[in-house]
Amino acid sequence: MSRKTVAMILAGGKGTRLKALTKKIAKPAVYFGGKYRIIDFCLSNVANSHIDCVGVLTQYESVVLNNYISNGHIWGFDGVNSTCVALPPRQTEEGANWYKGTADAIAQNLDFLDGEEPDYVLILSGDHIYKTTYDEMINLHIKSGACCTISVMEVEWKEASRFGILEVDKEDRITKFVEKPKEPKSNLASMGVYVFTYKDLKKVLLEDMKNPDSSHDFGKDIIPNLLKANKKLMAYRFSGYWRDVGTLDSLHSANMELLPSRRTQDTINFDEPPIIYSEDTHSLPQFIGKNASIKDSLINQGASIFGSVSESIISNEVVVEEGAKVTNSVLMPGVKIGKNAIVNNAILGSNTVINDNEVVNKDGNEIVLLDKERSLQ
Amino acid sequence: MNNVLALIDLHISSTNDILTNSRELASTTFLGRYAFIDFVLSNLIDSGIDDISILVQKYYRSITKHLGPSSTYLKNTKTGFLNILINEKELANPLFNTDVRNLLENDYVLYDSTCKYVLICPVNFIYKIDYQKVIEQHINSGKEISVIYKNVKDTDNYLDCDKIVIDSLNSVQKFDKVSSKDKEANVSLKTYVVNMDYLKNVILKSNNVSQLFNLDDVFKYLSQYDQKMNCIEHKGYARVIRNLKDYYKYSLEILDGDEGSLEVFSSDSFLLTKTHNSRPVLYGKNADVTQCIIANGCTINGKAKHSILARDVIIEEGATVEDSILFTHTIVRKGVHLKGVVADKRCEFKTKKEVIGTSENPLYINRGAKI
Repeated sequence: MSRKTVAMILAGGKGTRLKALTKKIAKPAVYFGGKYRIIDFCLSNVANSHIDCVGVLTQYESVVLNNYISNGHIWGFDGVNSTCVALPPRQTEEGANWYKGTADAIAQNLDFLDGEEPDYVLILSGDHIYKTTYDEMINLHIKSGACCTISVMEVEWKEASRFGILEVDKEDRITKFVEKPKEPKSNLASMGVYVFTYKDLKKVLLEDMKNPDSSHDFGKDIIPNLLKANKKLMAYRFSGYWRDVGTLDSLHSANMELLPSRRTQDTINFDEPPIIYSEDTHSLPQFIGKNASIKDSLINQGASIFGSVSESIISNEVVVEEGAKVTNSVLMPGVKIGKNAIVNNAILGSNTVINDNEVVNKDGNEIVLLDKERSLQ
Repeated sequence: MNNVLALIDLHISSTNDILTNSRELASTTFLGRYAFIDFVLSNLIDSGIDDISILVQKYYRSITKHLGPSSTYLKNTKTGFLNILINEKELANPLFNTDVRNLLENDYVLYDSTCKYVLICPVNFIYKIDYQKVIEQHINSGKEISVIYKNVKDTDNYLDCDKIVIDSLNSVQKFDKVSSKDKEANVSLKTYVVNMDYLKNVILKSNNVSQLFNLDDVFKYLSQYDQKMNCIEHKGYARVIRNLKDYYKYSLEILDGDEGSLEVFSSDSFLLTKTHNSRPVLYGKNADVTQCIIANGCTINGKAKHSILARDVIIEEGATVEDSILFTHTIVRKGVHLKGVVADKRCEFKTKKEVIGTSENPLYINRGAKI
């Protein structure tokens, strides 16, 4: 029997920089690309890597996300001996505990991992847009005999100080890890994707839990501690499309990269396997009206377009009425654009209503965000 | 409604038409994302009926392929059932492969059931109906069997369908065929509600009537000599699909929202169908799309007007599609003009630059054709 890997996805963050979009839902549950939610990418990657046990660590506004994860049927985890479970914080004999950091979230679920008896644990961030399989990285980890392997990608030198930067030797063994260095000596950025040998992970987490001064974070505490203890940590070089959509601008621009006119060879191709799986809503097919005009856009089923749409991402159950003009915008599910309204350079959260003749950011170059509550004012 | 067993009867829904040469009408693409059986199944589930058996006569594979796991339709896969029934003995003998013999071969469906009523539905009629109300009307009638009908004025659209003459007690006086002389007719929707015990009895006796009869024939026969049949009127939109021409006409009728056709889309529930992983539709810079129904996975950089595009259709720059219905994975290459065409799955239009049918006689293109 082959050795077992369990995936643990960190999906509890608030995503404060996404402002109103994460007022009622966690960042990994935010919609992307007209049909998807951000966490679909990570969970599809896990499924496509033939890992059949995954725990999703949820915390902030977890109801929608827990409901969406359900039993994992969207990504095929409802098969025999497969497990997909949301793991929010819980009350125990010691009392109720929030997850105090990324490492603490895993540490509080060591009982779940013990029950699954994994040889390796793949730890992922649930808020990144990329398409991959983790097989090669896990194989490299097994072959190297390291206690931890970290996925890295080369970033532009001027950007390096925004990331956790790794320094490596010529065999790609990690020699140093610095969180957001002012003067980076390497441009290898951590993607927040780790493979641990489980017995090593368990040991270091139990030690970290006892340390009152720890912030219980993989980047700030666990990785530096392992390096200090002279453990073998390897870097796995990832190349390809990868986006952190942590800000409104980055979310908007990653959406826009899906448009036919802006696609490059690197951009995620939804038609090529491995496939990104998502909820297939029971929407009607999209309906395009007699006077509609659509250019350079991505439009999901369930949308009804009677006006003009260009360079935009339109989700299910969106209605763009006659005479309305939507450009360079991302419309999330259930958005209604009234007759002759103008929407430009905007992200409209789920169920936002733009009234007839209303103008949103007509000449503005900055991306604006409107949400459902605002439209009720 | 756990006292109702539903039988979706594909034996009486078969059309001998070019459209259904290699598949059942039940699993034929409709409105880009659906198959005809989805309408019946959605009506049943919306009416709270989840004990469902599908009587399949032929093209069994196309039905199972479309249905997928029962969780696509059933709200609870433990308490609900979605069975497919075939008569293996008569598969090579279509004349004797009737729904009656299918039920005799699979009689456990009736004998293991605790349901008091059986609803028998075809798939070649498109309509939205609340079966709960139908069942209530049947129970109130006190009859053993009821038939659902629709009163129509546009009899031309129902030629050769069964019509019923109703007596003063709201029972069927006789069955007949709709003719071009009729200005009005009560068209049978071939949907029956039957008391379970009566149905069991009818099936056992039916071989005495004829071995070639389907249930529909048996019911019609018995309505004259045995039990009076109660009549229940359906007042909403209903259409019958008999052939390619009907298929084309009513597809575009729904696209245009004419004749109250949008009623088939319930406002408070979704139409259920098999799910796919197709991405949203990609529109290129040169796309020019008006009045279309389009399913996910399509890539459009040409012109599409007054058409229905199923999943994963590609219309290249400089191509034009008008008044047409394209099934999944159809590709229309640069410079090609389609009008009045129904293209089956995986067709590719490349060399011939003009492929033209008419609204009266749409041009059907075989599955996988390269033109």
